[in-house]
Amino acid sequence: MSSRRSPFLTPAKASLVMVALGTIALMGVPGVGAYLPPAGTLAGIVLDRRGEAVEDIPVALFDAASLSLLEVAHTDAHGRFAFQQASSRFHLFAHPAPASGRVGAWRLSLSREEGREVEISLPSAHPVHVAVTDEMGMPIEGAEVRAYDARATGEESTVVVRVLTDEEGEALLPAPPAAHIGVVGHDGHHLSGWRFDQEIPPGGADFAFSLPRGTLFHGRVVGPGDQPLSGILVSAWDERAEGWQWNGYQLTDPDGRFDLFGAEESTVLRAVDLTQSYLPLALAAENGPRMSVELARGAPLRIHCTDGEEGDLPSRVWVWSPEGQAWSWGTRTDDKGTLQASVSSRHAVVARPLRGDAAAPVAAWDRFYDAPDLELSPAAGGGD
Amino acid sequence: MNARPLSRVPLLLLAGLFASAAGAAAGRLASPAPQREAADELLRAQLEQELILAESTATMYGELESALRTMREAAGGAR
Repeated sequence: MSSRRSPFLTPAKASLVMVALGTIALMGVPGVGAYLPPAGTLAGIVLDRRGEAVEDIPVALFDAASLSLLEVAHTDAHGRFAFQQASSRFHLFAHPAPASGRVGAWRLSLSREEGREVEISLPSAHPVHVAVTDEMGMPIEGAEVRAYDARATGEESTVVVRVLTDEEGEALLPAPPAAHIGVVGHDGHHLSGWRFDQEIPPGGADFAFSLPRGTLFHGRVVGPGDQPLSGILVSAWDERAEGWQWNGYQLTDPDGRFDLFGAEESTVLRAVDLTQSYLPLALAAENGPRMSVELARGAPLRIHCTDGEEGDLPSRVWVWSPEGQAWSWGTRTDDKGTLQASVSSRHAVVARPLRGDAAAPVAAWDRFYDAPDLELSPAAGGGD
Repeated sequence: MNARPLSRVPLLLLAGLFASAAGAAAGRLASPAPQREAADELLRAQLEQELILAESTATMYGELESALRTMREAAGGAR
């Protein structure tokens, strides 16, 4: 008896095997088959301004409390990233290459719950050429040039590019369409230079900075009775042909002392108590012996921001002191829209709602202190 | 019926008070300069606060650049 066995690999079987292998291979191709995004405790996606995924760029995870770098992940072919570490509150920064046509972007102060699906949108990069010279017109090499993303108004400005000038005193950097461009004086000789709120066209922009030499102002901040005040924020501004320029800030040490770099002439110092116990003060800086800056205590004022319809309106609040010719630090109210401030007998209060959908800032100008409570609403404050 | 004439002194006083109140009101309307100055200062204070708050992003940016440089050097060395 003879039996005819069929061959091990018939054309039909081979076709089936080929189809199976092809399906498996296609599953790994982006956009085809079952895509498994990278897994982790925090995850998200990076998109460009057209909503297209941006692949193979580093995304950094920072702890919001310590500002320390926890982990760097790279986006995959779908623009997705994931982190294995977690922090209860954290910052993220997506950092494209300078020549990619995109500029980096931050997502600040996110909670772990918000970190399941974070979206980072990268603005287009517009080229900026910067030339930095000293007061004699000589190029300054190694000056730090920064581009700030100033898209969002208020507190959300962020540093998205930092480069150093070359030996010609020049730097070419990508900048977002709405930017502050700053040259930060770190060499101990020259002041900083700024161009605030610049709209950078797609074709690019040129900025020339001539940085004058500065001088160091020493001073001490005291309260009533010559008591040293520590932790007071002191900042220096000076007026130049380009407008007001900022030369940085310092917090006073336990003896109330500060050393700030500023222009020999026309420097104005601003001293602000972040805890709002003392009234803010602006004064012309004096060169020579140590300056003594005396801050006065104000009267306590409990400010309650509402939307005018009995709803609390969490806000950031600034208080003007006419005696000191200065505004306080813009302090956040609590969730109920209340804040304990310190005010002079005559003052102004401006509140900017924290909610994006909320109305414009509310202001109460030229108030007299008549009670320790102020209800600030669009109706009561009279608007902006 | 005899209407009692108002004495001239209180009349002058009233007129003076009225004039000074009107003058003060007109002055406030005509010169809102202190408010404008305060409003300009507010923009500068807000900008400064923005820059100070952004300092933390400058610090973190620097740390990331340094970490990426180290990674690139390590990758270059491994090749």
